[in-house]
Order: sequence, then C-alpha cells, then structure tokens
Amino acid sequence: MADIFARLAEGFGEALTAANLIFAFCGVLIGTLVGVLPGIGPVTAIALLIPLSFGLDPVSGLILLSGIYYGSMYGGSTTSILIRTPGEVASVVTTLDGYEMAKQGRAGPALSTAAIGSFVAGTFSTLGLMILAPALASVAIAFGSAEYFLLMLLALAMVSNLTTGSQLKALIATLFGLSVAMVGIDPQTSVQRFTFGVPYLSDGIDFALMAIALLALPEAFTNMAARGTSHLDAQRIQGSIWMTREDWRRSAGPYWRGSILGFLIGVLPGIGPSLASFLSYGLEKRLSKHPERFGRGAIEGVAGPETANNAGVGGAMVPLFTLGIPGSATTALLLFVFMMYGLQPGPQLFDTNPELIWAIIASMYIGNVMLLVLNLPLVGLFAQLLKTPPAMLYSGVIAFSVLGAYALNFNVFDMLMLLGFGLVGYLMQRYDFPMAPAVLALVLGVLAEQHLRRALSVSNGDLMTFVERPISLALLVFILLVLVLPPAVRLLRARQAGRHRVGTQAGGQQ
Amino acid sequence: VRPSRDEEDHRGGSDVVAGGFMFVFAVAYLVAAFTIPKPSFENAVVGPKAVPIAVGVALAAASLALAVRGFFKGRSPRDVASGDEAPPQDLRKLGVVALLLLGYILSFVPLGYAISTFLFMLAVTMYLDHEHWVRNLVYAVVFSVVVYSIFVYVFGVQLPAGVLG
Repeated sequence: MADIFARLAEGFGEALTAANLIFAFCGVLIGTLVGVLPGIGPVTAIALLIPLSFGLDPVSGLILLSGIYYGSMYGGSTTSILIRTPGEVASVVTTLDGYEMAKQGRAGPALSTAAIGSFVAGTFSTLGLMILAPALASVAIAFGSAEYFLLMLLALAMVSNLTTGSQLKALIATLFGLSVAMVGIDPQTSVQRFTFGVPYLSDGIDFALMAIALLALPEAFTNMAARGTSHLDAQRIQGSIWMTREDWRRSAGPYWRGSILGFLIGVLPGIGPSLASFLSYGLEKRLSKHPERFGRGAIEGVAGPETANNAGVGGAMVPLFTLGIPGSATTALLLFVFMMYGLQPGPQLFDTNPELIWAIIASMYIGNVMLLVLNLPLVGLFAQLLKTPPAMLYSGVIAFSVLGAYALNFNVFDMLMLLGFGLVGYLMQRYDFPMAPAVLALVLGVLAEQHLRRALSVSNGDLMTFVERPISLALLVFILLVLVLPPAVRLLRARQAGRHRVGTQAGGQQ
Repeated sequence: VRPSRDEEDHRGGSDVVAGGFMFVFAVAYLVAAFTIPKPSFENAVVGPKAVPIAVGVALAAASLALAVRGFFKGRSPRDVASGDEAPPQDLRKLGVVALLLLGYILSFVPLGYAISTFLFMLAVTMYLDHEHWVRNLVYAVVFSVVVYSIFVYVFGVQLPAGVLG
C-alpha cells in the first residue's frame, strides 16, 4: 500500500506540471463537448485526434486521450436529460427518467446528480484501478501465449454475445473485423495475405483509419442524408440546479452501488460502460420501494446509470493497463495509441514505465475534479451546443476524418479506403450491425492469431496446452459460460413468459 | 401518409439482404484465403492460411444463418442501445455527399488542403442548407484556414499546400 502511495505521489508530480494540466483540461473539455454532441462519441474524437497526438510525448498524449474518454461520460448525460437524445450509448438509459425530470422542471437537479454521481464514480473507480491493476499485473506476469489467446477470445466472445441487439449480427460484425484484421504481411512467416499486390496494404489496414471509417463517417452520413430537417426540442433549465436534501438522500445509494457495479463490469472485457448503466438502472428499480416512480422522473434512475457508466471507465482501464487487452472500442483505440508510442501495455509496463501509468492515474483524479467544476456551472452553456446546425457539424466531422486519414500515412490511397469503408459502415449501421465488436476485433484479430499460433508451436500442436494450466482452464470455462448462458437464460425467460401468459389467460377466464 | 420505399425495404427482408451480401463477401474472402502462398520454410504448426480460412468459414455460416432466419422469421430485434430509430434516409442526398467527398479526396493533394477543404465545406453546407449562404461561406473560410494553421504551425504536421505553395 505504502508503495502505491509513493508511486501515486510521483504520478501527481508528473500530472501537475503546467503542460500536463493543460492537456488534461483539453481532454476533459473535448470529452464533454463530444459527449454532448449526439453522434460524435469518445471513440470518434480519439480516432480523429490520433494523428495530432503523434507530435506529443506519450504521457501528455495519453493524458489528453484518456481525458476525452472519461470526460465524454459526463457530457453524455446532458443531452439525455435535455433533449432525450443520448450523446453516448452509455447514457441511453438516462433518457428514461432524466428527460421526465426535465419536463417536470427539474432539469437542474437531474444534471447535478449526474455530474456528482460521475465524480464519485470517477474517483472511486480510479482508486479501484490503482489498487487492482498492480495486483493483477503481478499475476499476469505468469501468463503465456495460451492465456493471452484465451483472454482475447473471451473479450471477443463477450462483446459479440452480451450485446443489447441481435447476437448473430454482433457475431457477424466481429468476424468481419477479424477478416479485415488479417490483411497485410503475416508477422510470423512474412507471407502476403489479401494484399493483392497493392504495396499500401502490406502493413495491413491502419486500425485508426478503420475506426474513423466505421464510427465517424456512418454517423455523419446518416445525419446528412436524413430526410427533411430535424428539430431539437430542448427542455429549459429552470430554477435552481442544486439538489434538495431529499434528492441527496435518494441519490446516495445509487452512487455507491453504481460505482461498485460499474467498476466490476468495466473490468470484464467486452462489456463496457453501456451495459453497466443498463444494469444499474435495473438494479435501482428492483431495490426501490417505489419502482412505479421509475420512468416518471425518479432521480435514482439518473444517479445510478450515470454513476455506473463513469465507474466503468476506470474498470475498463484495468485489463488495458495490466494485460494489454482492450475490452471496448474506446480502450482498443487507447491500446493502439500505446503501441504507436512504442509501448506495449501488459504486466511489464508497471516495471518498465511506472511513471507513465501513475501519471495517467493521477491525471484521472485531477480530470474528474476539473469535470465537476466545468459541468456544474457551465451545463447550460454546453447545452447551447445542441443548436449547432447539422450541416456544419457533420461536414466538419467529415473534413476531420479525411484529415485524420491523410495524416496517418500521407497517401491518397488511405483516404479512398476511408470513403469505401465509410460507406460499408453506413450500410452496416443501416442494417443494425453493431460497430463496437468490429472495431474491437480489428485490434485483437492479429494479436489473438499470433498468440494462438505461438502457443500451438510451443506445445507442438497439442491442444491440451489450453487446458493444462489452471488459469487457462478457468478462462476456457468462462468463455463457454459466456457463450452458453445468455441463450439459455433467454430460453428460460421465453418459457416463463409463455407459462405466465397461460396463467393470466386462465385467470381471465375465471 | 404512405411509408417511403426506403422504410419498407428496411422493414421487410433486410436481414436477407444483409446476410446475403455478407455471405458473398465471405465466399470471396475464402477464395482469396485459399490462394495465400505457402511460407518458404515450414516451421510453424499453424500456417498463415489457417486462421483466415476459419474466420471465412465462420463468417459464411453466420451470414447464411442470418439470411435464412430473416427469410423465415422476419427482422431480428433492433439494438435497444442504439437509442432512437435512425432518421429516414434520402439516398440521393447520401450519393451527392459521397460524390463531393470523393471530389474532395481527389483534389486534396493537387489543390492543397486549404482550397480543397474550403470548396468541400462550402459545397456540402450549401447543398444541405442553401438558405444560410453567408454563414456557410464564413464557416468554410474559417474552418479551412484555422485547421490548416493549427496543424501546420502548432502541431508541425505537414499538409499539402497545393496551388498556394
């Protein structure tokens, strides 16, 4: 413990330099802005800023980009509450009670409880990250290729199975991402794969390019090609933004439950802050003495999910830092940034670059304070952003996307691929394929394949290598559970619902 | 009000179309996967072909399953996390925006960043919202000049100067 605090103090020393304070501030400010703007999320913003961060040193670049990630979770609630349009997927559930509160003239307390809950969760989950990450890193030192392959498989299984939409479509999206990831020279045998003689494809298709093409462009296309003009019907912020004593009392429980739940879920690979916010809402509704208030402006329904999605960010950093395995599209981008700087996240990172890790952790504490100060008084100002005309907003997104694609390798071929995959992404979105699994598979695809092949060549092709060691065996069992449980639960529920229907029909006949 | 053709298409049979399209992609991918050359020295247990072929087979199977399920059962459930339904789409608008984007990309290097970006921003904003032409003009000028200056002078990223250089 004492060691942790000594390290943290060093981290604060690094994070509190003027330059890094400015980068943290820019990060959380950009994060809040993209959180507020519907259709532009943290992934898009980070993908677009990757070319910019080439010029920064690793600590500053990562402080900036992490700031965007957790900052966006604050901003996402604003639009959910004021216009019932979530700025982020993780804030979808906030619309249920947040918008109701705003309609009842309680937008202020709704925004306040979201901001304060976010702060509590951000601080708590950073604390959790600080304690859990070094412990996990010391375990992960013993991991071999077999364990890494299984962990990545677990992340992919989770992201394609625990989706809120169609599982089959999530699976197809994952496989599509994997198939694109295979393009380029195979690092083990130097054989060209799917390059068709095009020299630009030898190094593979740039991950940042794909992230921009699949996430930023489809959103811009969808909004620009919308029929007619849309009107945003924003609720005014009336009266005091402060919460009453009663609001505080009702928010306290959701704060700590959401923090713990969100953190734990964030740690699991493949399920990020969005599922955490859904689960927290369900939990609060179940625990409430007045579940009927939910959906009619219950402050618990805002406090819980907004806390949980922020706590999820700190949790999601744990597998990223200690194993180098991202659990979501956003952390996949952060992993890419680490690798771009020549750093390999994983257990060794705590030994080789402790000052970097601890500076990022320290900056997360600082950034959360900045966000609280920014968001409470200035929320009305951020809400004004919603009046940005769509034509201007999305033409700007497209221009930044093209610039980002160009700045990666300085060639026109990349920009043309951006357009091509942007249209593919548009079609995928139109046909309800989720994008996050494809993006995660893109970054994990090659890594997982290399670990699989290395594990098998070490064991001379013996598949027993995946079950011989306790950790890999446990992971394998866990993967099977992830694959089998959700369909089983759905089947059971369908049966129960069927029985229930029969029961009510029988009751109706009496 | 009659639902638009686009909406009708989207509701019925969309899984059949999507699954069929992905299936064709998967088959083409598999064909390419089988033509991956053998490595010059065979020392690995698993070669460079194995994983791409496995991915291709799984993708073909999953896409086929989606198409077949769509044919018999209709649409798969919508992703509740994606929030509101996407706004109805005007495919002509999409086509025009995509063509303008193609023109932007092709003129990016020859015309230079500032001029090509100015033209693209002006064209897109005017096409989508021609009433506010003064605002669009000012926005296109400010955006291209400010972004160019920030990248070149603050971050030191070289952007094509084109005819201005």
